[in-house]
Amino acid sequence: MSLENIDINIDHGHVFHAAPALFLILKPNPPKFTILDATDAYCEATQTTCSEIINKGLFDVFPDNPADLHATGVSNLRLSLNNVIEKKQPHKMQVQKYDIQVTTKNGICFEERFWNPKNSPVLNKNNEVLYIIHQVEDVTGSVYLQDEIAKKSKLIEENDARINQILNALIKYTTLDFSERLKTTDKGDELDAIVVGLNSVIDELEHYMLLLKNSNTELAYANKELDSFSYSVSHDLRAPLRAINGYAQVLMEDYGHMLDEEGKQTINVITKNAFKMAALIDDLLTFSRIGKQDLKKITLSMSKIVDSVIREFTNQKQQNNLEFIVKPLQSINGDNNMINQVFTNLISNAIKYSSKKEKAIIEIGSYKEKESVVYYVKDNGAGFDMKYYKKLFGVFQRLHSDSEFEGTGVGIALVQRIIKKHNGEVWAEGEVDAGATFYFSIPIKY
Amino acid sequence: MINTMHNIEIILVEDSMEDANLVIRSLKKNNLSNSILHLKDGAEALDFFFGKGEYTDRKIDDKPKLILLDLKMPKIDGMQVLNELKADARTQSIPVVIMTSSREDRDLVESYKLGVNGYVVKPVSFENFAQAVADLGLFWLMVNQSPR
Repeated sequence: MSLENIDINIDHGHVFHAAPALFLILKPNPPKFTILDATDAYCEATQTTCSEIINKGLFDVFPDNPADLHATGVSNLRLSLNNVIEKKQPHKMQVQKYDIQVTTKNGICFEERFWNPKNSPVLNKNNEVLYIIHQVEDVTGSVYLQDEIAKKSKLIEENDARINQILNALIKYTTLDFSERLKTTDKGDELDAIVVGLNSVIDELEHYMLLLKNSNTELAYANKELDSFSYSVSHDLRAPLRAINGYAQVLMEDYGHMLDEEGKQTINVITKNAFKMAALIDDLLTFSRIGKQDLKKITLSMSKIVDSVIREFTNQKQQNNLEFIVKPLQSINGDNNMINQVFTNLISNAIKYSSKKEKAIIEIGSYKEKESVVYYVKDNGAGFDMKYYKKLFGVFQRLHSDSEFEGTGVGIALVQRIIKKHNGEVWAEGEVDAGATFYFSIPIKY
Repeated sequence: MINTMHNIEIILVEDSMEDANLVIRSLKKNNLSNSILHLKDGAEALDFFFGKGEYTDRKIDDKPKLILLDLKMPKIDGMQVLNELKADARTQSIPVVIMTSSREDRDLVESYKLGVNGYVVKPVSFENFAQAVADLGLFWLMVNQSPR
């Protein structure tokens, strides 16, 4: 564009006033710095009018906020303007807090404002400062925004620290160390609410831990007592039995010739009962020992176990009227001794209760059901009335009298105790004179 | 009694008179009872073996062929007697067989740790009991060879 084409008839004054920027034209007459002109935008931003401020001293029109004791707006601007006059170069100031006066319904008061001023000299040919152009931009909004961001990030930092504290406390609590509690801040926010909740949960936990500890101590004490009790039982209850038995035998050997049949029968009764008592003690001890023992789990060949149990029984007594049907049995993880005991008890029961049959048939088998293997021992013996089902599993509970079938009433209770330790179940089916089937299940995985 | 002490072959340490009599009776049946001495508890047993108390005149070198030792006795129990016998060079070669009422695993383990030579659970049945005692006596007195 060449100069000839420029319309030189522009109304510069009008254009200046309408410029969409904040300008003041100042006279370089310190300390007054008379305002020579201002853009409309400047007046609007400072909530003044041109007529109010033109020809007035800059700092008369725009004094510091008397309420702000730390106000540096006037002094900083004065320094900058003096600097411009001296150096004859533009000077860009840092963002300044320089409050403006506003008229409200309560009268005149100051409103907070932030500006980024730049002062530039207008020089003549002789390099003298004719005017100073004071140019600003209202940056209050962005200062506020930055403040807000700073506050937010400070809050985030603080909250991060608090969350870290909570996490550290939680980690400590997982080791059951409840010695310390988190403190709340005065903020009363969500984190404080979490801390309050956490503390009350930990208080509760600590309380129950203490109870648990106490009852564990009591339990350990009770266990120890029970232990010494069963030790005494096994020693002290057997000794008198041996004496009863022994001296009954001595009586029979030394004085048997002086006794009639009834006398001899009486001695037999004494001996028989002493034996029964001994069997009861043995069973009871086994029962209490099993309860305390830990499982030593290995993979068990149930077929081998059942075979060895059956061999033991058939070696004891030759019984021609007894037939075993052993189906293929699934292997499973369990305690060898305990499962041996289970089959021993179930098979000896089956033999006992079918002993009065012409031909006793005992079947042993297994099948899979859900996540478990079920094993069963089935006989065709005396069976039982389902009415009394619950009594089957109680210690010393019997469904038959001793004169019918001898027994201590511990066997099935022991089976149940062992299987419970294996997380399995025991149940039975029976019918009077039509046999009984005892089942037990052991989970495949646990 | 002290004069005949060198003839003693079996020492029975047992606090129960009833059990002791049954043991002696069983040994008698097998003609093994001539040389048996019954000591009534652990304290007396230790006095006897180490020549203390009323046994100060006894020669410790006179070793019996077998000690039958009950475990559960008042004051000094069988385990302690066994411990002291096996810890002392003068007595550790004497065969000791524990005779006890019950098969407690911890007693078994402890006894063998201390160096017991046998462990027998007294059966409740007299017949079995008598047989066990007779077998024991016959083995240790007739069959077994101990260092003299």
